[in-house]
This record gives sequence, C-alpha cells and structure tokens, in this order.
Amino acid sequence: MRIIIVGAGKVGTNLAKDMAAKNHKVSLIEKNEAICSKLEKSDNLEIVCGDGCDPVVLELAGIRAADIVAAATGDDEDNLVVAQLAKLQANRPRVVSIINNPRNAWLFNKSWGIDAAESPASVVARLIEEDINKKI
Amino acid sequence: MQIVIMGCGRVGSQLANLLSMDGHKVSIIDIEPKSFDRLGKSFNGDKIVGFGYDRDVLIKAGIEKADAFASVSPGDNRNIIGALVASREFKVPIVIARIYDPVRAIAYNKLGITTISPTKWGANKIKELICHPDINSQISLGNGEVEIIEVEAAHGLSGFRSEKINVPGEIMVVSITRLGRAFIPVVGTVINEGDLLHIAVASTAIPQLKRILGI
Repeated sequence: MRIIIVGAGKVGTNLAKDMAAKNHKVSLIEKNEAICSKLEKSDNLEIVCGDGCDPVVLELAGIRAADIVAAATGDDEDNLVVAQLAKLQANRPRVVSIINNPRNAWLFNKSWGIDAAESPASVVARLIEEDINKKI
Repeated sequence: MQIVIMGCGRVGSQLANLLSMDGHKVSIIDIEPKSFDRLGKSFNGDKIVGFGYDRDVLIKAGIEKADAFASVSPGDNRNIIGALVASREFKVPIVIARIYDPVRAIAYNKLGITTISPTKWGANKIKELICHPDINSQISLGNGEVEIIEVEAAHGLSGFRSEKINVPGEIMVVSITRLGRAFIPVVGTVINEGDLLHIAVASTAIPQLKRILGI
C-alpha cells in the first residue's frame, strides 16, 4: 500500500517506521526543516519537507497514487485541512486522523472526509474505564 | 442581517465596525480578549472570547441564526475550517474565508467556500499602480483578474463606435455616462468627446487597451 503520513511528531514518525518495516511505501511530510533533517529515510520511507496543508506538497508526496492518508499533526485544523484536500483527489484515498483536542471530535467523521479518527486522550480514558469496570 | 466574524484583527475589527454601522447584528469571536480593544467604543455587537470553530463558542455567537459568516483569523487553515464548519454544520448561507496563500485559495474554492486572497489582490493592485498609473480602476473583480476602469473619452475617440474598443474575452465597454446619465452601449453606439466610459478589462489586456484608447 502507498501511505502518506502528514506530521512527523511522535505518532507520525513511529507510524511511518512501522508501516515502512511492514513493506508499505511511505511518504512522511513534515514542515519543520530541523525535524526533517533528523529523520532517516529508507527504501520504503521517503521524507518530504514541506507543509502538508499545501496542495502542491501533497502532490509532490504522491497523493494521486496514495491508498491511505494519515493526518497526524499536532493541530486539529491542519489534520482537517489534510483530509479535505485528500478527498478532492480523484483516487479518493482512505483518510485516518488523530484528534488532538477531544472537543473537536465532532468534526472528525465521514462528512468531513475522515474514515477513521481517534484521540489519544480518549483511548487512554477508555482503557482506564475498562480497568475500573473490571475491578467492579 | 445577523453576521458572525471569526478573528478580531485589523480586518476583522474593521469589518465588524462597518457592518455594525450599517445596522447589522454582528458578533465577533477572538481567542484573545485584548484584541476587542480594536473595535472602539461605538461597536454595539457581541464580543465572544473563545476558539473560533469550537461548537459552543459558535453557538454562543449566534451561528444557528446567522445569515453570514466570515473567517479572518491570522491562520489560513483555521479560516478554512471555520468557514467549512459554518457552511456544513450550521448551514450558514453566506460564508467567506480570508486565505493568504493564493494556491490554497484556489483549492479551497473547490470545497465550495468563497475565498478572498488579499495577497494576490494586493500584489495585482500594486503592480497595476506601478505599471499603469494612468488607469483609473473603479472595481477590481475576483483577485484582480478583471478590472472595471473609468476613462473620459478624449477628442481622439470622438466618433468612434464603442464596439470597436471591445476585444472578445479581454475588453468590453460596459457603460457610457453622457451628460450625467449612464446607459449600456449597443452595437453602433457612437462615442462623444467627454463621455465617461466604464470598461471591463482583463488585467493582462491593460497595455492593449491603452493602445486602443491612445493613452
């Protein structure tokens, strides 16, 4: 599969390495040049230094042939913009996203072009709740 | 009209004051309470402190009954998401987003949002003032791709038929004002010296128009 990941924070970087190790073709987009220069590319992992909310950069990263776009920046508005631009593509890649602020979760749905989204805070909250329920 | 503005910077505050002075019901949102100082004392609309596309903040600003929404915060992405929330989630009929990056403005137009790119408009306008200081532009359309210019017919144009000035797709005389009365020219309308012509011209065709008008 061809996967585009936007945002080389902890989530984006680890996801990129993981997917590349599983033999997927990954393009990791990051706008901060200092972070870009520290990222290691490999046969399956391409680093694109640029703003993933810029249609030109997404095109350079190969969005036209992408199967999956993962929006993993630390800004919810950026993740939403990535999803909108991805869904404008003729190939309509599947879009997954992280939600940074759970207050914005109401926007991360199919009508906003997002196929799946999860907020780390909500995941941990759910794990804690499951734990509590087990003890009861 | 009831209007919600997201972002109380220079443009946001001025827009809020202009609309409010015209008697519209304006609510303006900004994350920074101090930015409302820009509005001045005469502003009588609602000031809402909060994050621009937060659901509760927008509802507090009256978005559910709003006739129009404009996002003019400093961030292009925030503006486009704010505009999409207003249009998709709250069905606001008129939605406008200010987008600095002209490339993105084009992409976002495809999402059905009216975008204004002051960067491109400003650059076009300054270029025109530098290269064609003698052209008096009345209205700039789109991002400055088409201008409506005003020009007084000099002696050399007298007796000229107005359609002779027209160039398909580039130049068109849209109105002639003669003795204080404006009319739309038809084929065969003859220009008199002193007529005030309003001409729609593609910004790329301004040099050509100047040659035709002999200026």
